[in-house]
Amino acid sequence: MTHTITNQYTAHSGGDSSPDKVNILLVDDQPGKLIAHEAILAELGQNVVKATNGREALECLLRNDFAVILLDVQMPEMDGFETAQLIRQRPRFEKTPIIFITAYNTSDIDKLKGYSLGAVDYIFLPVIPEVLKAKVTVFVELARQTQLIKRQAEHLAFHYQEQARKLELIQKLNAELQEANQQLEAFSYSVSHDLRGPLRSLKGFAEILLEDYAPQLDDTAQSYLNKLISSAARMEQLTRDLLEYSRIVREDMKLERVSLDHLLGEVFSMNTVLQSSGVEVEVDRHLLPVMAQPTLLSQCLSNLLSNAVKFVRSDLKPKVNIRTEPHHDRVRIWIEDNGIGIDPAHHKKVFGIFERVGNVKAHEGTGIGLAIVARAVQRMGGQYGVESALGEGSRFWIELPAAPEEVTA
Amino acid sequence: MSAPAEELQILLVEDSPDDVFFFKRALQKCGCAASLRVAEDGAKAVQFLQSNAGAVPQLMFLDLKMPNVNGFEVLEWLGQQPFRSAIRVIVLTSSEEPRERQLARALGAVGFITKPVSSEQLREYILSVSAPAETLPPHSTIIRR
Repeated sequence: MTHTITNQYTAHSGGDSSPDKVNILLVDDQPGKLIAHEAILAELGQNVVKATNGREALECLLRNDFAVILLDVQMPEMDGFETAQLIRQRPRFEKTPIIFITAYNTSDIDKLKGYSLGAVDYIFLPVIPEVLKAKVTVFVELARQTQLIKRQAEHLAFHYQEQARKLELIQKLNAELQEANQQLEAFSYSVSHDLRGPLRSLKGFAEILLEDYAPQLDDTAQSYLNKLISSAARMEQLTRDLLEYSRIVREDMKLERVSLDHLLGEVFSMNTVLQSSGVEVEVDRHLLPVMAQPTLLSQCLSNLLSNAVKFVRSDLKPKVNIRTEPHHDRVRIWIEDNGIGIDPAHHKKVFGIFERVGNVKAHEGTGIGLAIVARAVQRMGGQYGVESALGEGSRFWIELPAAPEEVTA
Repeated sequence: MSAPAEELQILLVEDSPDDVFFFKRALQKCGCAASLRVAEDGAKAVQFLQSNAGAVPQLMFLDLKMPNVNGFEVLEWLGQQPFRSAIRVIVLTSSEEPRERQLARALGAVGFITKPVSSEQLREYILSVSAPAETLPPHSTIIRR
């Protein structure tokens, strides 16, 4: 008779297992007490499942997880302690909290004290509703917290799995990229060495031919040789510039504090275009330090300075002015020249690859120099630009993060 | 070596016959008295220096990419020799890779020439053996305000 009631409840609780509700198992052989306790616990808003004896209780436990089991001690056939022992034998219920409901008598209390398996509490009969609710609430909260943590753990595990999968993918792509980079590097090297060697011979022998055998060659032959030499020179310059452009990608991008005074000294001593131009360079005494990749920045400055002396009217002595100014948390480096200037309509274009504007024929260049500057500055997280008008000289600038104050020990 | 003691001795380490030809021509044109020995790769250079340890050349022009023993390996080996400081090493490069320059500099090279070498460059380096060269550009002025 009571069996059917129990089944109804379990079936019901099974169907209505809302994720926020937890299950409470009530075990008592007296239907009256079951209903009374259920009524008290109903206020907690959880699923209450009822069983009228130990065996039924076990059946319920097999079907559902329970936040707490309320176990009547005095039951016929199998009493509460025996039932608890059976429950505890199963690893799954080892830690399910049990509250014994017992009459106030010494022998029961002694037994309870000796009972040491897992979370256990007891309530004396007659049950005081507030006490029952308070004690059950503790375990309901515990179960809910556990559930929450479990769900979060599952969630996290899923995330970790997802992240591990993504990481694996990134690592795979990185390895592929690295290999592609290495191939590019090998390619660049072979371009630089194996392609330039023959080109050097070509140009060298043409020059020697012109130097040593000029008297035996007529003007047309000499002009052909000159064309050959200038084409070879142009191709040499192209391979050099293309290499520089590709090097920007291969360079490690580790920004460090760079003193411009020191760097400019290096640039002046390395740049042959600058050296042979007879340029007058004016460097501001107080140059602000920047955060940059030294090799890339020196390449940028070298290219900007080469341009500054290259695009100057032939009857003028090239003059360059270098200064810095703070720009919020950045430093703007200005390189100003007395050159032919650039039409504002072309200011964007000059930073593109293979773009040359104005009177190209009169000024050497491959059109890669400023593209290198643009790409290198971008890679260092900076900005670049130019202020200029035709016939007014150019004021190129690059902006890089300011270097923090140097710590003096 | 059979050259007179006061004549500058130069060792060129270069595997490309064309580049050796251009070097010899530049040396002829630069107007400096010097005797030249050529080693066709790094291994031959090491061999030559070992057998002439008592009278090593004052100047060595060293190609980097060579078969057998490359230029970097020659520099590394040279760094461990007692006559290391008697030789000024100028690296001849084709590639202009900054990384290569840094490495060569760290290994003791004092100069860099992008091939082909000009007679002016050669003269400058030859003169620098008697009087160390200035690093500032010769024809340009840098004013500090």
